[in-house]
Amino acid sequence: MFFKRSVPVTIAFVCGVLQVLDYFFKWGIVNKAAQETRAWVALVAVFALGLGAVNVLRVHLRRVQQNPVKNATSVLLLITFLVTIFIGLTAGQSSKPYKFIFDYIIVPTGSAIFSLLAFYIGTAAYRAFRARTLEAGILLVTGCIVMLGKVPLGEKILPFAPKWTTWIMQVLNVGGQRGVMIAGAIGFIAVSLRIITGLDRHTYGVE
Amino acid sequence: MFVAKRIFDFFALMVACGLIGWWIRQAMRGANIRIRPIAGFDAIDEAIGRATEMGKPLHFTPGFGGLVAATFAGLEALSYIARKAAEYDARLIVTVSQPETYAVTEQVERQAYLEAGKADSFRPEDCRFISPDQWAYASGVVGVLMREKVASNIMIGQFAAESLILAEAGNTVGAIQIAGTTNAYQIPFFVAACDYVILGDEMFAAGAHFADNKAHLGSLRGEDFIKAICIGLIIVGAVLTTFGSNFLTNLLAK
Repeated sequence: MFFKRSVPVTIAFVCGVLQVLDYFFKWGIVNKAAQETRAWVALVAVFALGLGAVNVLRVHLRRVQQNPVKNATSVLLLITFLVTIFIGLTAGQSSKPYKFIFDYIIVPTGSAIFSLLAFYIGTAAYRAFRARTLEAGILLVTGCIVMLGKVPLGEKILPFAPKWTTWIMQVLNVGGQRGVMIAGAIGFIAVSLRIITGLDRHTYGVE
Repeated sequence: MFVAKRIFDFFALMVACGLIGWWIRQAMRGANIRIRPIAGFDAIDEAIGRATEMGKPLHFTPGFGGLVAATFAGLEALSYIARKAAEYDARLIVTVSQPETYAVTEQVERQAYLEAGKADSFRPEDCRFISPDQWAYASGVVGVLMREKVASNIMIGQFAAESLILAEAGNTVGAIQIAGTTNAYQIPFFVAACDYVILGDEMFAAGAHFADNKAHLGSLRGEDFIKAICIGLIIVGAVLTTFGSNFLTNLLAK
């Protein structure tokens, strides 16, 4: 229990307090120590990335073993995974083949997934705007005003729409969002305090 | 000694930590602290039950964030979900984006199965690291939701622009969906696409809600007091500014 509980809690406490002191005070040794511990995060993340890579391999190798035809995407994933690692290790990250993978495979596929958002916003809005309850009705009316206020034609249809849109966005919307942000920030303080004092036992994987 | 313009922040943090600490102490000494029911948390049992009855998997993701407070709140919920899933022999698939979160998530899940007395039922391949890249993570999770035809989709943690993509994919497969995040910009997407939404800081009540954890109950009471102080400051600030005084604004900027 000492190595599983006390050591991680002590490390978390020291590192957590260091970061707080670093943010508020100009103390040479503390600032330097805090900077050093932040650099350690990258090292820990690299080890964790190794664990993640092993997990990806394990999950997809099993899928390939079960049915390589049905799980052809897993075969593809494993091939690209190994090819990328091979090129990265042998030719380096600034090499042409590696840049090709990044610029012509990763970036376009990422953009394609991002572009799906446009369609999903439409389908989600359609469901949200079905005025089945009073709240959904208010949402529908508010949404319509804001949409009309944001398009040039909207002012011709509803002359007061731009003015109301500004008020809805700057007063109601900002007020609500700030409420969530303030409450969230207070929650962050509480969670952080519980973690660095060892009161959040699940964080350390022990009960 | 102090970094410029952070003096008030420091004392505000000290007051906040003091209040939370004091209430944690009070809770541990037996103070009677109750929390209101949160529909999103109550619905988690329903989601697990649905997956069990349908014989389909249950999906959980703590989101795209690293080891931040919202992720830890998600992991609190995961601990309960994994324990219940183990008890009911429901298959739980967990997808993770960040490598450091993956290591902690797997440990939390393993521990939950152990606590449920079903350590052998834990399948490490069902706790899946997807990718630290936002859109690769989104497409990976969508793939899992579609291929596995999950009965329930629970998303509690730190989410960014991928939130709606995940929620719509869950909706497409007909899963009951519970989501929670502190990201104010993503909450509307979850509200539009999910059955239950845990709004903002309600997430931090997970430990208190599921485990009746005294430290969590105490810290929630402390948070409520800090919120009350913040509301007071906002009202006083609005009144002072209306009458032309910048006293509070200047104080906060110190």
